[in-house]
Amino acid sequence: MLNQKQLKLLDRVQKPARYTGGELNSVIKDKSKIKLRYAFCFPDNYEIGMSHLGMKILYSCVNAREDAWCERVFAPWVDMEEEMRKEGVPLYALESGDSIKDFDMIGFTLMYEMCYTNVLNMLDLAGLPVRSRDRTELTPIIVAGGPCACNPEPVSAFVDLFMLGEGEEVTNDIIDLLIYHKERGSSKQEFLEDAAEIQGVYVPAFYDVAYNADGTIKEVVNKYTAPKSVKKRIISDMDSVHYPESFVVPFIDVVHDRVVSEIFRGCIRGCRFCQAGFIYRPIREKSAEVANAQSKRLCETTGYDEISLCSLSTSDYSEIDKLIPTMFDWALKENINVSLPSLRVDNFSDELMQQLQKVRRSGLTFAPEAGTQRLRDAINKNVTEEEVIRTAEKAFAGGWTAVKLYFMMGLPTETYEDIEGIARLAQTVVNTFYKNPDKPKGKGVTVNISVASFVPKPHTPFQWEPQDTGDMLNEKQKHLLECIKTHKIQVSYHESKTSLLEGVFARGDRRLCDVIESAWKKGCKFDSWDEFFDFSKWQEAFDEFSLDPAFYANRTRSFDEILPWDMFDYGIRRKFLEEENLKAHRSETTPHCRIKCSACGAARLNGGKCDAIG
Amino acid sequence: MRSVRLFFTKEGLTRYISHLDLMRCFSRAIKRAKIDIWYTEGYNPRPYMNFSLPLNLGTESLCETLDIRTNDEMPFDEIKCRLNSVLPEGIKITACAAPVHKAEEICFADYEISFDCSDAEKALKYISERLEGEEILVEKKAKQGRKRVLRQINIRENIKSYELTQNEKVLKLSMNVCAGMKNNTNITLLVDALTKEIKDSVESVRVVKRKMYTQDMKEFV
Repeated sequence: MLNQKQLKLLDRVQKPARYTGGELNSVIKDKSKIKLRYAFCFPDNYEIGMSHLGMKILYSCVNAREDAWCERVFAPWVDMEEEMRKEGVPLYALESGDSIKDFDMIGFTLMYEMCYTNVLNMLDLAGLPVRSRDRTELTPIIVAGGPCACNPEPVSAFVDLFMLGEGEEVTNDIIDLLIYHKERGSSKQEFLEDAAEIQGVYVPAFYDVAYNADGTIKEVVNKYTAPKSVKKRIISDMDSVHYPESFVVPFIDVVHDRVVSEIFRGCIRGCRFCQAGFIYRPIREKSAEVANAQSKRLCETTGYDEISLCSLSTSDYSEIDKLIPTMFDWALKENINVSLPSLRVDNFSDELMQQLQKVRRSGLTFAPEAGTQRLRDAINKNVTEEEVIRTAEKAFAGGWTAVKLYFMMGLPTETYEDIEGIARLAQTVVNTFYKNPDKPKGKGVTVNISVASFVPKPHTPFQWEPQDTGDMLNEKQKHLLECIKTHKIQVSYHESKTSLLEGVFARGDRRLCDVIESAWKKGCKFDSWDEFFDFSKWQEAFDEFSLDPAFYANRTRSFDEILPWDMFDYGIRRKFLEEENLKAHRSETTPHCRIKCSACGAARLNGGKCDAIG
Repeated sequence: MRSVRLFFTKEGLTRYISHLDLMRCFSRAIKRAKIDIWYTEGYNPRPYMNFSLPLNLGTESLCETLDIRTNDEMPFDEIKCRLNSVLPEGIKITACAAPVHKAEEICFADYEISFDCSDAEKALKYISERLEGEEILVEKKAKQGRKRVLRQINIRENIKSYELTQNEKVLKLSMNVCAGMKNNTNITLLVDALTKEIKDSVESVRVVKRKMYTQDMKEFV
């Protein structure tokens, strides 16, 4: 419940429903019966945060406990922040309206690198010092997790502990431990020493990093109870792991506003550019029965009229042919739409296409990622031009008139020939449309190509590769535009300056903490939003600490170098990544995990089990 | 297929739910309540729902209505109970019945506006002067062909009757104003105009729509 001071702000801001709480299925608990209060923070606005499945899972997971209460917190939009600072209203949690400063634990989910300044800004709005060392009390403990925790070094000075890997179990371990230490009246140090012994927990203060004269890492020394290398956590059994029975249903329109049914974790494909394809291994599938029952229950408790299947590659789900008919059977009767994102062009079956035609039609998107076969082989995107064309043929025959193609620019080994290949492939798709004898009369075709700049990420075979500079990318973009001869092909691409920073933080070390703090003090926040991104402020911050973004982004690293994230064990053997890197430079592919296991090493995390190899 | 009119209140924090969001909120509530609602038969079937008159963001109401159609004959009382058990706090179905009037028949509405003032005397003087005058000019967004223009209108003409009272720091303004599809009163514009030069003396304003009437001042049902 909001107090008078908070309520007064609402009449002065855009979309006040972002800040009211009270949505259906939000969890209210009796404070007197709670031992631990947890503020789960998403460092972006309400609409994006409320679309995030991980938050829904962990919110429900913690609230299933009687002794803890998890509440949601989002980054207030700039208008609200201004009012809050003016009126002295500290950052509050949506469920209770209480200031999060007084909570026991504050958690951030780090979905993308460009949200880091928002983490600092939210801590500051809560009235807390942003640096871990300046918060001397046991509570609130600041924790963080999410994909960026696979190299959390650039934000390691601000967060007390990171949780690596999947959070369902480790969050509860941390909560148990914090309750224990709170009751004993322990110090923060005592708690952290115990926490560091839990698998998946990284306490940055327990590591000292020394650097060589050239700025690379000389050595990392672990202290107290901290292990030399931190192993990520995984959930072994997807059928029995906690999954929400209900989602909080927002009043306002959010980005993904529907039931989400997670069907498996990990990916069999091994595309060499893709971080998600490696850090979520090994493959663990949920059974079709469980996925179907969970979706049905969620529809009942939320009233949503759409279900979206969630995984890294829907058509690689081994029970897809069982799940789809079962789900369609009841969903269509109840006017519920089922959407299947992340389908691959190489196993997009006719039956699947027919099923899809029963429901509301949205756009079709394929991701060839690169313009030529040579480059697709180098990045191990095992898709051929014939497959793209065959799928486009099927789609056009099925009545689609717009297709979206995703590409990347700046991939390792890329040449101008590969850029021209993007335009050529798009043109071939356009031609395919006009070859279709049954094409709808009077309708043209639109092929949208979306070109993202490639950012090398940790824990991938490309983690040693230099990122293209802004100038190189601009030249390539210009060249691509010159190659396109028809208005039926529309090109969109991303701002290269944001990609540069993303690359810096993705592979950065802990010296960047100073830069992030300084940029935030200069006013940087919501950096993933074009309207707020100000590179000049960032440049100033780098200069202040004599650090060069190019050192992190545009430099080729050697296999001998100690990388800041070498101490985080995500299951994948470093040797495997090195071999994959060498194969990329020879344009050699690696078959996907169901054809042949490449012994990446991730199955060790799950007692040797991986659902890709049965 | 049967037409059903739901009468509901929208109070407290639900005043911040916009008209479009309210549509979504109801369509989900109806699904959760397992009410067999009639779907439109177009290319994209969707539940048929018709609100009599959109409510301004930030305004509370005791007299909203929503028309739906059901495929079966579920008793009105059961529809009401089922919906109330799944609707968010602040939105409550007060009655459920077969519609009598058409939405187009709405002509007038009662509003109650409470001004919480730091300087009630100053506010009282200013607001009564504005109301006693013949003109309260406000700028209204309008369309001229395809162009979007700002048009000046005299919103005072829309006020049919009013009563302004003071209770210590709180001024209460009860009004009967024009409403409906032809000549709706934008209550937010009116409240802004009434507090235009005394923003510092007014701490907060609460606006509640209380009743809607037809041309001959019969309650809209």
